[in-house]
Order: sequence, then C-alpha cells, then structure tokens
Amino acid sequence: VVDNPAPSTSGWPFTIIAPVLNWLRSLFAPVAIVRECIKNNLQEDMPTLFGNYWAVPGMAILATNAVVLHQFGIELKSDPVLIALYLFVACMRLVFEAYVLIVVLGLLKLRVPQGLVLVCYTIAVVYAPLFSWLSIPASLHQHVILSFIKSHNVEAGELASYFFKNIDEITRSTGPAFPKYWAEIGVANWCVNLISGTLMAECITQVGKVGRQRVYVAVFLAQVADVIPTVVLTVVQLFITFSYMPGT
Amino acid sequence: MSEEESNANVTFPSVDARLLIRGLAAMAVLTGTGFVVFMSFYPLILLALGTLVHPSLGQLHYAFYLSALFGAIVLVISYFIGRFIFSGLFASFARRIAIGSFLTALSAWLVTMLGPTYLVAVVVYAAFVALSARDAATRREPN
Repeated sequence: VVDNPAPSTSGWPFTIIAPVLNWLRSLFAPVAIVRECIKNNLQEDMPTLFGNYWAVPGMAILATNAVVLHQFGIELKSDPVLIALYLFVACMRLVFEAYVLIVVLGLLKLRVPQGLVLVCYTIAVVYAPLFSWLSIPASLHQHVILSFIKSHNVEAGELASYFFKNIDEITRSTGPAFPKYWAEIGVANWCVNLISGTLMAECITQVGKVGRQRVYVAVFLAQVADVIPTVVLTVVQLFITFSYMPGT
Repeated sequence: MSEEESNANVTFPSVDARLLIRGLAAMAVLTGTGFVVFMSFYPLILLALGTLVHPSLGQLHYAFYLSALFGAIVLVISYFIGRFIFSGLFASFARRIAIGSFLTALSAWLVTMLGPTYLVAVVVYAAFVALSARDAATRREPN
C-alpha cells in the first residue's frame, strides 16, 4: 500500500485563505471555536489567540473602512501611518469591549479567569465585522458630513465647534441622518448582538462554572456599557479621517 | 504539562438548540427591560439635556412615557408566554425583571400625569430592587 502524500498547506495562498476560511467557519460554529481554543489552551496564550482568531475579523473591519474611505478620496492602503492608526483604533475597540466585560463580571462578583473570558469573547470578535458592514450607511453619512465641513476649509481643531454652530445648515445640505433602511439595519444589528451575547453568556457560564442568570445580566450590561468606548473611538476615528481628507 | 492536564479543570462548553432558545429568550427579556427602563427615565435626561439644545424636545416626554408603558405591558405578556413555554430556568428571573419594568413604567407614567416630578418613580423602582435583592438573598434560584 502506497500512502498518498498529504496536500501541501504551505505557501502564500494558504497563509491568506486558511485564516479567512477559519473565520467563516467560526461564524457558523462559534461555540466550536471556543472549545477549540480551550483544547489548545489558548486562555494562557493570548498572542496565539489574537493571531489565529482575532486578526482576520480585525482585518475585515479595516477592509470595510478602506472601502468607505475610498469613496472620499482617501486610499488607506497607500498610507502606512493611516493603516496603523485605523488598525490601532479597531484593535482598541475590541480590547476595550473585552475589558468592559471583564470589569462588569468582576463588579457582579463572578470570578472567571481573564483568559477564559477573552476566549469566550472571541465569539463577539468573530461577529464584529458584521456590525461593521451593517454600519456602512451610517458611516458613509458621517463621512459626507466631514467632507462638507472640509469643503469649508475648517481645521481639525475647529471641527466640533463648527459642527455644533452650523448643525442646521449641515443637516440641510447633507440630507437626513438616517439611511433609507435604518430600521431594518437596526433590527439586524440587534439580532446579531442578541445571538453573540447569548452564546458568549452560555460559554462563560459553562466554562467559568458560575451562576447563569448573573452572567446573562453581566453580558447585557457590558453590551450597554460598550456604547461609551464605541462612541469615543468613533469620534477619534472621525478626527483622523478628517485630518487626512483632501480639501477642495 | 500535557494538554489534558492543563485543561483538566476547564469545562468544554456546548450549547444545544433548547439552551440557545432559552438563552435568546432571557437576553430578549433583558433587552426589553433595558429599553423600558431607559424609556421611563429618558424624559428626565431629555429635560435635563435636550431642552437646553432645543426647547420643543421637552414636549416629547409624554409620548416616551406612553411608549414605555406599552413596552412594559408587551414585556409582561411576553413573560407569561415565555413562562408557559420555558418553565424553570428563567421563570423567576424573568418574573422579577418583567414586574420591575412594569412598575417603573407605570409609576413613571402616573407621575407624569400627576406632575413633573420623578421622585415617586425612582422610589418605587428602588424599593422594588431592594425587595428583589432581599428575595434573591433568602431564596436561592435554580441555576
């Protein structure tokens, strides 16, 4: 009997395709991903967890940003500093939100090791690009506003004061704040949030061997509290974009 | 340390359809509660902040109270449907938060009808939370 040699999994296509396929698989089987992480002891090996499971969703968010920025004359791929800034903001968002969950669990006196919480939080990370895609219409509208302000030769330092002083004129010129299908987008957002929150809460309950009801409350409160870092980092990102936006 | 040894104390999670549906129901009740509580106190925030931006925003608070009240009624009905389908796991949990939301919205609505003071709503809600906490401390819930 002659053994068939195993197909080669080295080379550049596999280094790109394999993590993407892994991420697509994790969208449909997020709990299996948590099991896989625990089996490989990744709760004690954060660099591998981030590299193998968090990097592709982070890059997907970055690619979404690149598409939006391209519409406004900013080429993300041609500016390493801008890529670094956007990557930093995307990573900070994921890390802040994970630590909000850890803090809320701590406040509710649920003692779950941080590594295990981060492994369970991987479920929210794999779904993060979906939120990014669902927020494209809102993001486009924000960039339209920035573009309008930039066309009036406003400096980055005067952005906030100009916006609040001329809010009526900006609203008239840039159209309604909500895109056409904002209600449907909101419902889709809520559904994804509900599914990822439930799966995360179940995993934390089982892995941490803690009270189910309090974990559900903690995950819900963390999702509410995530609004603060999200708003702060969105404002930071908009300032960065405004600085790079070409004037007229 | 081998892989088996290092993971000896960690449970591998598994979520079947029944657990997922119950979990989604619990999360939906929590979200509904959050919405009702937020809507109940939203006029207070609106009056404090919104009216400073635009005076006409303050006129919206009756509509918000009504929507909060209807939201709470829907939540209580959902709870009874949920309890009928998913007895046990989240029944007492859902009862507490559904009744809490209902009382919050009802008291907020009544206070709005009586006058622009929010004290009663806050007191009723605080009393309910205190009673729930005492109840939870004396009677251990099934996990």
